[in-house]
Amino acid sequence: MSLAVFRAELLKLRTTRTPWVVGIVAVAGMVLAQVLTIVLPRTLRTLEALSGADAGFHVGVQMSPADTSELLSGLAAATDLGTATAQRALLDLMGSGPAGSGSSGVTALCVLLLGALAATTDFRTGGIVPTALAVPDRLRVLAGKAGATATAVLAIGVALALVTAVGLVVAVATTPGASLAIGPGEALGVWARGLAVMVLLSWLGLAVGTLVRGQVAAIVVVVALALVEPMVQAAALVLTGGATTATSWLPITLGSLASAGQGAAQLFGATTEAGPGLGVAAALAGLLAWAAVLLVTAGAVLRRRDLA
Amino acid sequence: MTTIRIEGLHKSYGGFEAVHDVGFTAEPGRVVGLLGPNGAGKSTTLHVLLGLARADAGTATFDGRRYADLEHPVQVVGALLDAGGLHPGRTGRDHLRVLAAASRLPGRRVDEVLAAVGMVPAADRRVRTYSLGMKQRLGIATALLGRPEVLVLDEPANGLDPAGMRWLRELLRTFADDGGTVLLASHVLGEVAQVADDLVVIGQGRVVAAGTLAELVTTDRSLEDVYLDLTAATEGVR
Repeated sequence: MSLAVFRAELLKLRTTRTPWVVGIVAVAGMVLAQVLTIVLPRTLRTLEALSGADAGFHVGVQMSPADTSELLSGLAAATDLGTATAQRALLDLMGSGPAGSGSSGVTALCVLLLGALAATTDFRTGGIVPTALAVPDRLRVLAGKAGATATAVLAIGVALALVTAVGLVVAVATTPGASLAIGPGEALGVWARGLAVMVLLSWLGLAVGTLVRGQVAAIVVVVALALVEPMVQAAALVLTGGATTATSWLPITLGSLASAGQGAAQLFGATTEAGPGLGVAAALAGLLAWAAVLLVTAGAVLRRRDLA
Repeated sequence: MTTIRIEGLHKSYGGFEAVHDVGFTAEPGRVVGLLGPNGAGKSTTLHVLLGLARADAGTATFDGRRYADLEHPVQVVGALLDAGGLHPGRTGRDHLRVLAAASRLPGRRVDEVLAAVGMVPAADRRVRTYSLGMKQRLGIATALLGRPEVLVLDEPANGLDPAGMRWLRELLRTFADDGGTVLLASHVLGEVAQVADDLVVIGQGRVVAAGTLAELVTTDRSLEDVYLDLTAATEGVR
């Protein structure tokens, strides 16, 4: 990658509003996820207390007071912010949350969109023409865009990490009897994996944008990817009774698994290879493979394509 | 001192033959007007020349080198195509900064070209607030950024007011008189007649006439007469 092209592409991102808006939405999504994650256990405890005091209380469906109490108690335990699992989930930049209930959609969608927009904005405005005139080697242009997108995503990721750090401190400080259950090394590891996933997803978006070219079409593709994949995942697991792990190798799921959050597979009770340790590495490698294959394809197409 | 040479150029899009065996030369010190009706193949010829489209056959070179093979392309060729590829949400100055950075040009060149095209007062406004003429001036500033030896301009007079037209004419004349090569695709025949030294007329993807302005235009027949005669058979879009 040429440093000059990287600087130019980064300047392109900095000097228009859309990347800033995408970054703000990602941070807002993370703030919301943190607030919900911190508030959820308190709400459940309150409901548990209410269900104990009022035999007629029900949640969602009519349940006996005993069942309601058992359910709320179980949920409260699952979302206990004093556990290492919950604290790791708070730091997860993909924002999966302790029960997969956070803003993974927002973070993943934002970085996918940022990548797609980095490519398609040039095609939409015709900016690809002066760019190609300044840098006729189109692979250098794509490499510069990949570097600039990664830099922008890392900046957003650092902001998200700050939000999660504040969230963790608030959670520990406001949870009775809770203390920090994870060390600084583990926290840095969670953040590093989250940053890597964000960069790889943004490259996925960049590749899609380069291949599709049309801005609206590219946005539809990445939004569909982010929204449809969990449905495919859920359908496959329900149909196979949780026996399949094949759909865990879809990109959004790989991102969620690699970034210390939960994937839909675990939510449905499946045991996947992509758990902690080597599994996380496998998930990262899988996502890297997706990004690499799509970027190489995008580069080959961009190189041969007429730009005007 | 750079010569543009186009030889035996063919380019098709699907089954549509946009350019068929087009060839001409633009020499240093000359302004060459490239004329033709809509869809005649002018823009396609320029796109192939600038490496934006791939020719099916033939060559388009600058002193024998393809655009893609130029080591510092913007220091050899300055180009303005279509609307200049301007992002409406970016300021004029930032548009130039991006391209200066990509071309490894010093930041002061941005200020110099902004001054050269009279855009300093509007440089920090977003492009969406510009008139068409201002966008054209910014596009010309982009073309001048690398102090090129060649200018390739597609309809640069679009949207310019009379003062802007005169400014452009003088800019191109001075550029050529200083040894530069200008290839100017335009529909504004009056403007071309006032500034061009040579003409190439394209119709239905083929060169239908080429020569000096003096050879093609006489006291009895204006450029408009000549142009309409030459392109009568190819009138209308293809």
